[in-house]
Amino acid sequence: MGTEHSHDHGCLQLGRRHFLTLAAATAGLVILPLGLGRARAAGNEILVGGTLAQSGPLSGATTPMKALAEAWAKRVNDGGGILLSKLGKKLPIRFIFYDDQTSPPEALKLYERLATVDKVDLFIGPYSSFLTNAALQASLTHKIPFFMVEANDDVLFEKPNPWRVTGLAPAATEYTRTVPLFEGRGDLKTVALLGRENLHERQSVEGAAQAFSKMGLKVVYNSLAPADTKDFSSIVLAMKQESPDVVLVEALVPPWMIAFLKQARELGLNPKELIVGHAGLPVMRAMGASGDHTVAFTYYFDGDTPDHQELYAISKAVGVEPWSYTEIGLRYRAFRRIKDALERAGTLDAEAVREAMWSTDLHLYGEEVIKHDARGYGTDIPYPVEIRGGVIQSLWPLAKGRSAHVPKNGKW
Amino acid sequence: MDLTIGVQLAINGILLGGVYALAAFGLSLIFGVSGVLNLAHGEFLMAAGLVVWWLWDKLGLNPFLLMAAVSPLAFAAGYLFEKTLIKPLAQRKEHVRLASAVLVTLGAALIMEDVADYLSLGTQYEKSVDLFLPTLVLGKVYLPSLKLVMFGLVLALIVALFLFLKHTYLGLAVQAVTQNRRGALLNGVNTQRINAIAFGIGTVLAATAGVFEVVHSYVSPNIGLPLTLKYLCIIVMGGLGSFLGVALGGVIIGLGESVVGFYQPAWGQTVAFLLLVAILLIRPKGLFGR
Repeated sequence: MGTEHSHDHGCLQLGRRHFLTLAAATAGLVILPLGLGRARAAGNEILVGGTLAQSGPLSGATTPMKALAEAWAKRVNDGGGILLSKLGKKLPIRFIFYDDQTSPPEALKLYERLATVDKVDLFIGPYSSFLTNAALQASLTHKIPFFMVEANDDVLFEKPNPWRVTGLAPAATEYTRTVPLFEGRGDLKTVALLGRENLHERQSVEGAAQAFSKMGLKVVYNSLAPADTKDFSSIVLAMKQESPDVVLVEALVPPWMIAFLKQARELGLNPKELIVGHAGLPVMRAMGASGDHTVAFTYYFDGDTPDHQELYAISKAVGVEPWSYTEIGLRYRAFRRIKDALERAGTLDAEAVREAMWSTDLHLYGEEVIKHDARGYGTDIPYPVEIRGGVIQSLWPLAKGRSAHVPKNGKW
Repeated sequence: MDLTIGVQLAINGILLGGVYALAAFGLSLIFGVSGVLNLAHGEFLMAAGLVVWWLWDKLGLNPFLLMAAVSPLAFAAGYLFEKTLIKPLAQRKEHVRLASAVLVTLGAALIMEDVADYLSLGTQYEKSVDLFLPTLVLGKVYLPSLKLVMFGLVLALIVALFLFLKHTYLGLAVQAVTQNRRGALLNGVNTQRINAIAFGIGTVLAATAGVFEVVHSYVSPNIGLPLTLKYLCIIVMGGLGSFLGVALGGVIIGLGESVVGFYQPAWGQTVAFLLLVAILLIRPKGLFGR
C-alpha cells in the first residue's frame, strides 16, 4: 500500500514534472521566436516610432504625414537603407505611427508602448508642442533619442532632457523670415495680430509683434482668442477700428482661421497686407479667389537641389503638393535629421545616436545648415510664400520675394 | 468707441443672439413639456451640422436647402430619442426620473460625441461649409448678409412655432401639457406622444442652429455640451417656460459676447455665465419667470 501510494505519488510527481517541463518547453517555444523575432528585427531594421493626431482637433493638419514618412522610408530603403558604418551594413528604416487622438495623456501612453512593446530605436515627435511635451517623458524614462518635429515652445525645454532636440528655432522666431518681406514699405505703418489661444500661437504671435515693432510698425491690436471661438465679429470690429495696414492671424487649426477670414471679409476688414500662418490647402480652398495675395509660409522654398527633388518626389508619391500642408517641409527635415544622426552615429546604440543627434551639422537645400543650440532648439524657420491663383508662390530669397509679391491692398 | 463700430457690434450681437435663442427655444420646449433637461441637445446641433457638411461636401448643394432636407430626420431623431431613452423613465418617482434623465441624456451626449469623433477620423476635425454672400454696406456699416439670412430664417421659424402653438390642436396640447400635465391627461391629451413631439420639434430647432453654425463658422464633435450649457443659461436667465424670456436671454447673451469680445476676446465666451449670475441675483426666477 505504502509502496503503491509511494508509486502513485511518484507517478504523480513524475507527471507534474513532465507537465512543468512540457509547459516550460511550450512557453519557450512560443516566447522564444517572439524574442528572437524582436532581436532579429532590432538587428535587421531601424525602427522609428511616433504618434500623429489622426483624430481630434489637430487631425486635419496631419493627414498626409504618415504616408509621407512611409514614402520617404521606401525611397531610402530602395537605395539600400541607411549605412551604419560601425555595423558594417545598411539597414532599412521603418516607421510605426499610432493615433494620439490629439490627447497628451494618450500620446504619452503610446510613446510608452512604442518603447516597451515595439521597442523602437528612435522616437519621432507628434504634431504640436503640447502633445510633444507630454510624450517627451518617455524619452527620459527609456533613454531613447527623441526627434521633435512640430514643436518649438519654451515649455519643452524647461525640464532638462538630454534625449530630445527639435529642428525648429523658437516659436517666437517663426515670422523672422516673413516680416522682413515688408521692410522698406512706406505705406505700412500699423499691424494687428490675432492668435488662437494655444501654447504655440501665443509665443509665435508675440514674436511676430516684436519683429514688426522692431521694423517700425505700430502694433495697434494684439490678442489671443479662445480655441473654441466661432464668432469673430467683435474681434474683427476691434481690429477695424484701428484700420491696420497689416493683419496677421496665427492658428494651427484651419477652420478657426477660415471662420476669422470669412467674417473679416464680411465686415470689411481690408488690410493692405494679410498674413496667415499655417495656411495650407483647407484655408486656400475655403478662401478661393479672395485668398489671393495673402502671405503665408512653408518650410522650404523653390529650388532644384537634390533635397528639393527628394521633397517633391515623396510629396508626389503621397499625392499632395509640398505646400498643401504647411508642415510637410518640416517633416521632411525631421527625416533628414534622423538619417544624418544615424549615419554619423554609425550604430543604433542610443547614446551614440543621441550624441550625433545633438551635434548635427546638416546642409540642406544648398544654403541652410541645421544645427542645435545648447537647449536643443534647431534652426528651422519658415519661408514666406504668397497664395496666388489657388497655389503657393515662393517669396524666397527675400530680394526676389519683395519684387514678386503683390500686396493684397484690401481686395478679397 | 466709434459710433459706427458700436452700431455694428449691436447688430452683430442681436444677430448672434437670434441663433442662440433658436436652439434655446428647443431646449426650453423640451424642458417645459417633459420636465427633462436634455443635455444631448447640443449634440443634435452638432450632428445636424456635420450631416449637412457631409452632404454639402458630397453633393455640393446649398446648405440651406440641405437644412430643409435634414429637418424631418432631425424630428425623427428627437422623437425616437424620447421614445427609446426618456419614455422608459416616465413611471419612476419624480426625483429618480429627473436624476435618471440627466444621466441618460448626458450619457447619450458623450456617446454621440465619441461616434462623431470616430467618424471624423482622417479628416479635418472641425467642419466648415464655404458659403459667402456679398456684404450689404449701408454708409459705414457693414451688414453680413449670411447672418441676416440666418436671422430671417430664425424669425420665420419662431413665428411658425408661435402659430403652431397657438393655432393647432397639437400646439395647444403642447401648451396644455406644459401648463398642467395631469389636467391635460384628464382632458384626453396623449401626454406621452406630446413629449415625443416636443423632443422632435426641439431637435429640429437645434439642428437648424447647427446648420447655421457650420455655415457661419464651424462644427466639431466636441461643441455639443458647451453649447447646451450656454442655452441652459439663456432659458434660466429668461425664466423657465417663457418663450419671450428665451428670446430676450438669447439677445442679451449675444450682445454681451459681442461687446465683451470687442474689448477682451478671452472673456467673450464666459460672459453668458456672468450675465446669468448677475440676472439671477436681481431676479431669482429669471427675467420673465413666474
